[in-house]
Amino acid sequence: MFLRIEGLRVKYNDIEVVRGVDLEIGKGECIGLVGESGCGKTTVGLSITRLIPGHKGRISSGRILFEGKNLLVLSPEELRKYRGSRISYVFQEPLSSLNPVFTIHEQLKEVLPKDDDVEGSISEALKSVGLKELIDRKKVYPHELSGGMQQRAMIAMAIVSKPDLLILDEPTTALDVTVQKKILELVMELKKNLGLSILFISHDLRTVFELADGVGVMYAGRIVEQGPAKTLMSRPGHPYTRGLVNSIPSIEHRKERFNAIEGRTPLFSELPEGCKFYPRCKFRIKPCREKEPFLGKFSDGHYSRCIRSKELIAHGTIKGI
Amino acid sequence: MNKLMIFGFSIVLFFAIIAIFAPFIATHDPGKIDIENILTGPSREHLLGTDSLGRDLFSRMVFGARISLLVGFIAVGIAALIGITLGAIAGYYGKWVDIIIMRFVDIMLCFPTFFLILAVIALLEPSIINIMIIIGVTSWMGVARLIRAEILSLKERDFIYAEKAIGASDFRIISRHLIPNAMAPVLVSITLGIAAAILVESSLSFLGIGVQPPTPSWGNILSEGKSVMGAAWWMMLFPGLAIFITVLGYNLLGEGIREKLLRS
Amino acid sequence: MLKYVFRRLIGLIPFLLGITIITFAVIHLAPGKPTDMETQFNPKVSMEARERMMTLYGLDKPLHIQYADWLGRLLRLDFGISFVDSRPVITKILERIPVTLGINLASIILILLIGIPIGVSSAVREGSFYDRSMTVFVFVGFAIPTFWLSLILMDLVGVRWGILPVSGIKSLEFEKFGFFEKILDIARHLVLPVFVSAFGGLAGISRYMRSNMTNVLRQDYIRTARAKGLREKDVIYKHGFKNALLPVVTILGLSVPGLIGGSVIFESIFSIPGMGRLFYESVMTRDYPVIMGVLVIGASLTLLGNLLADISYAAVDPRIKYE
Repeated sequence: MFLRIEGLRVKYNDIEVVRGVDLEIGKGECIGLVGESGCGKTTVGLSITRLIPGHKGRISSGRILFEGKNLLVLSPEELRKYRGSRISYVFQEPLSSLNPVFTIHEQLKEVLPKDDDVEGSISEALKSVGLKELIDRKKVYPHELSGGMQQRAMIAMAIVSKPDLLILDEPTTALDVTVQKKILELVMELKKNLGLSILFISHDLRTVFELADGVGVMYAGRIVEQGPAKTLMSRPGHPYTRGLVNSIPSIEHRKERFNAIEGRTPLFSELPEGCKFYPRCKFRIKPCREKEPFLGKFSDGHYSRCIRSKELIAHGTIKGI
Repeated sequence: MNKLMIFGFSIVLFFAIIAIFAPFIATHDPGKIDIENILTGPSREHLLGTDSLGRDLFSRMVFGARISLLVGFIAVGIAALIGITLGAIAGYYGKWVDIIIMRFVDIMLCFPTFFLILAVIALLEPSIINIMIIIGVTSWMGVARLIRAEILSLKERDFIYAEKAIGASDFRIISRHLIPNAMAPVLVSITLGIAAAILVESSLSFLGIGVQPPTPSWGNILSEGKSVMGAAWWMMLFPGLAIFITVLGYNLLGEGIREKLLRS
Repeated sequence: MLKYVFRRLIGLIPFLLGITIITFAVIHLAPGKPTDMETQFNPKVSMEARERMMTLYGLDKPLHIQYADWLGRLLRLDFGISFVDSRPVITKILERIPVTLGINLASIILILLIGIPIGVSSAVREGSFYDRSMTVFVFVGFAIPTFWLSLILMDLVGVRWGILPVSGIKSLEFEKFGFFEKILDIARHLVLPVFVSAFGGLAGISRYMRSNMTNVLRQDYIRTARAKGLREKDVIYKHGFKNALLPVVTILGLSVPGLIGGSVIFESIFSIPGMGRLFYESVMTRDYPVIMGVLVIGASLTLLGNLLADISYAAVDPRIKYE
């Protein structure tokens, strides 16, 4: 397997926010990771090259195998060889993620090793993200670009050294709707052309289902359901996934837009006993509050962490509720 | 209460007690001249030694604490009064009132404060009262800026609109609702301001244009210490140390309050 | 660029006017007026000087006329004549300014050279023993009275150990020295004053730099720099440092009045013939023309400092345009 995350646990100030996550990404595959904000999905993404802010967070256990090599035990110097050149990131806010006092060109340049054809690679990257006009304009600073162009520049920075894995953390959330669409098209084009593997982190379920081959749904620091995008969309096995799917505003039924899940994501410091989704679940029964269910397999590659998944998958809903 | 605050507060409290109970703590009459015992080092009789007129340094320092703290508190009180009033008016009324007041603040800030203080002292007699007033009227600008900024954001809140709707007067809205809610950052500024005022007063007294002898102040004792440099180390060490520790205390307390406010 | 500077200079005019108004008001509206002065109180002020002052300020005229007259003379750089030695105020000030500016410039350089590395290294090692000891140093630096520090250093370094001179800026036999000896002599005289004047500012800048840097190191673009596989050294000293350094430029501009004001104290203690000491002497002798002149020029220097800071900020921060 190309990238395999095993039993990842992360603590922030001694509170566990990623509570044992397993995830696999195959070569050339796009895997989506969805969940409401604060579910730990960003932390999983940052953990891959250990970018969690050191003064408060730390990875307490687990393995992250990239082409069989555990990234969590590498020395900082060894890890650096993976960052940027093999595994790269695109973050949510392009403006704050770009350094305001260096030109786009300088920021692209520093990703590449000095002996390569630096200018050639930069031109190629800019061309492929649709920023051809920046090739000759080397004095351009981030604030001089529009939000969409900034994100394109971020993507150019992420692909300029031809990495194998691209981690996109809410890459379009901060952008206008029309720009969002263009950026997503760009990402899929790059995936096809460059053979990139992608981890797509987002709270926007619809986008994820459109782009990703496989999807992991996270809740309270754990994956609660995982499987092929189509399966999760049509036959979700976890009440939480079901709620997320139902809250997607469909084009035909715009009025049902606010069909969101009731209640709020629990704080990590006060997680309930048993199933963490229990307090918000429409299908809860007594055993749910006693023991957190394990991730059970329901069909090939489809896993769900709910004792009533079988009923939900079979009937789409549960009667009498 | 964090550690900084406790440490700072203990220092502040310590000197406050000394200042308040000065007559009971002093071992001698601070003004009593004793020609027999000029510039004697610290001893059991004279805990911190004697000065060039044979007066007891410890007792003079104890009474000096009174002057330093009094000047610090009243000067900052005056500064706070001016700063809060002007800042609140500027923030609440906005428009040209705001422009005029804040331009005035900007221009006042151009002057090296110490120059301005000295210039006014040249015109007035350097009495304790005058020193307090002068320090007060030259150091209110920071408070004014803080209050104005707070009020600018507060006055758009719903409860202010509600007050206006029921016909509350501007004075009532400003004094009852805006200023009390804007005081948190000012508290830090006031605490640090006391430290600054004590430093200014002692600098002035040291230069001979502040509190005038024979009234003891830490600054003018130190000034005397300068004239006997090399002959009486205690005359230089103790008053300086007292100023240093007091200022440190208020600074620590101020920083402590700031940290506490940031967290909440 | 030139246009920007020009526009900023135009913008200074109301400030300069304000400075003159306040200076004028302080001297003329305060309870004790220059005219109340009695010759016996200050024997240096002769009757002749008083007469001169009466005509100079037209003290019999209404206040606004007096102000306009005074302002008119200021525009021609005529600051009046000193009561004490009858020399033009502007000459007296101009011969003192280089010393004060020189010492302040030297101490600013010292502050930056030491304060910035202290702040950065504290931020990088946030919470470590080093960081905490630097915090203690900063609090000591803030609280220690300049004049006390001067006295202690004078006593120890100058009097007890006799390593450095403690008074004036040159030795008595200065004129006999060769070129390098002269430079060395001045340098030796300036060691203590510069050190003292830098001490408090050092604490300020290192604290400021530390908080900038800790703040910058939490920004998204630092995470991006790490994600790109840059060396930690480049992440901190290239991406972090430049961003943390920019606001220091502004702070330097803001610290000008404090530095100039502080020069009164150490120039008096070390008997340095600078603007601070001139001001102190004129306060002691109630030499009003000099007092007013120094006030106006001191405040104008602050304006100049702020202007320079703004221009250099605009020059180093790409986000700011000269428009």
